[in-house]
Amino acid sequence: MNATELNSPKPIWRHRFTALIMWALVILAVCNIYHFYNVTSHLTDSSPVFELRELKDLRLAQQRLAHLPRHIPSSEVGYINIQLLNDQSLNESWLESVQYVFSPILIFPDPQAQQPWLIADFPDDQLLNKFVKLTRRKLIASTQKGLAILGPPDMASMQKQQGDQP
Amino acid sequence: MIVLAMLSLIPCMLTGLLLCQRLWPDISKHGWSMRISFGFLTGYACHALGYQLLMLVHAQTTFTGVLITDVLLVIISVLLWRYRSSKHTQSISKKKSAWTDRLLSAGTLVLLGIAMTGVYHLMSHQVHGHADAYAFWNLKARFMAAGQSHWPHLFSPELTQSDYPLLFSSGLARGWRYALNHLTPTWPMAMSFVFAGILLLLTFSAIKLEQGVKRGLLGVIILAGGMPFLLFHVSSQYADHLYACYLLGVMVLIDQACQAQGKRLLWCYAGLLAGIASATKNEGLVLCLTLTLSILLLNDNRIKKLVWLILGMLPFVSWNILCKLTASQLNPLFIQSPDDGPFQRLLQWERHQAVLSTFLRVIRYDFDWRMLLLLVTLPLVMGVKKTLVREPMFKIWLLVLILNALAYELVFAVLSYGDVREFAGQGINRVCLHLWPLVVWGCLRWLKDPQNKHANEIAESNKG
Repeated sequence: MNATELNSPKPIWRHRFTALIMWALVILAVCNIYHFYNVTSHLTDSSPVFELRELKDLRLAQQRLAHLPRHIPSSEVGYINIQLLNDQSLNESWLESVQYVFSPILIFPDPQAQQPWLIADFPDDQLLNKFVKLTRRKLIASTQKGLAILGPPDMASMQKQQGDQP
Repeated sequence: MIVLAMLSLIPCMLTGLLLCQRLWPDISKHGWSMRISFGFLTGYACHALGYQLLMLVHAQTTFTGVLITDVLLVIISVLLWRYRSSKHTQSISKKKSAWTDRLLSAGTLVLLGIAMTGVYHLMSHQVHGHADAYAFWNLKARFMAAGQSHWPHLFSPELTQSDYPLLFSSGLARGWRYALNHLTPTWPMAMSFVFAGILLLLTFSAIKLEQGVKRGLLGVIILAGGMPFLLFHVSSQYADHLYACYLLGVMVLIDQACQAQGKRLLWCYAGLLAGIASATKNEGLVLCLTLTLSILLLNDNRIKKLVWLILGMLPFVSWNILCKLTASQLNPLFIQSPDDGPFQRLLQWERHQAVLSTFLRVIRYDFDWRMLLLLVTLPLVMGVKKTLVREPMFKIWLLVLILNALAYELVFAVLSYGDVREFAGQGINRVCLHLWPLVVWGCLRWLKDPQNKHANEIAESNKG
């Protein structure tokens, strides 16, 4: 393409084509925004309050377990990803430091603080059991992929444990 | 509490407005939308950096400490602004807007209102944000706000994604300090909204600069709805739209610097925003590298431009490195000497090696197609006036992005809602999201309209 061709005015059909593409994009965008609004506003009515964040397995587990409370505010549900941990690094001192990360999701039981529910991601059952034991939480449901719903810490067993100590 | 947290944005705006006036004196000619968007992007980053500095010096940060730091930053920016203000002359010519423009503005606002209501619905359903937000950014922000002296644990390899830059998170933590340490999840939600607004405003003002208000408003509509996972990302409280803001900001500044000869400070400002992008998301490091390479490809005054650009990048990039060097005491490499002071830590070669390997890992991880996309994109967008490879490759690249968006439209229409959101989190779509504002800006600038009076006037004045 030489300089003369580059500077020559575009034919009228090209301008019309450009305008057509632009308006098609605008119409597409308007439709998208409406569709997005429609989907999200519908979501509020149909979904349970307990937010499981697309974890389908957990949703199934939740449905199977009748005793799981259905109306837990999502702000009290925490999430923790322990996938990258190994057995050696999961210890009390690590949990103590990490509880600052999950500040609304206190890992260690505290009678004064809220005791939120926790969705946890574990590499294997062994680590899950160790975590449950360390944090004295109730294991509500777990899946084969290492995802688990943990209830608030078991205060009764904790107090009993403290009472047993000299 | 959210009102108190929002108050923390006032000093950010002040600092940002003064700094961008200093670095880009002509910005006042381009209207309030340009000033607000650039002012916010600059100010937010500066105050977040101030908060990090404060934490490094004294981990037990208090509200008073944060307030003093903020006031100091505002004073410094006032001094910098006054140094320049004598040379500055304002020449704003206000034109009465046409009724079609007003109608289009009202329509755009209504449409954005609908979009934002949808975003709010989704946000209220996941108050802590979607996976990456609660696992990385918001989580790190919570750590910085509540962890006090434990905050260097953020660099611990035991935590997931310890490589993530902390600038955005420290801005959130700073807001929580203003909210008297109430870690309300509404604050990150609000910030996600604010950054979405800034992205739209920046796109509007960047297109308006050459193509007029009407084209700018159309750009906003196409940006907001043309790629639906932008709205999903905003509602998920992800940092991708933040990064897109900085990327677009850098390109607008470079475009301005290319058009006006001798604007060294504009190159410096572009470098500053690129540095901020690298402290916001790791992809920003790739941007800095690509930008440097792209400038080397330009054939006039490349060394001068490069020097000013790197000067601009230095504060945030070097701070990012410094932070990792001094604070990463939990890394197993440094466990033998945890009691060393910050300056002693700086002298340990092992630390430098560890940080360097982190950066190399990040760049290598993001290098492949993201780097290629940027390498193709940046010279093309930068070379609008100074042609490099220009049109054919730009069209191919544009076609790939549009096809990707269309494929997404199909998936969006066919699949269920949850699956689409998973799809939106995939890497290629994130990159498209980063580049989407650039595409909209570039397209609407390039698509010529013979009836566009504003563009014709600008073209005439350029010729003259």
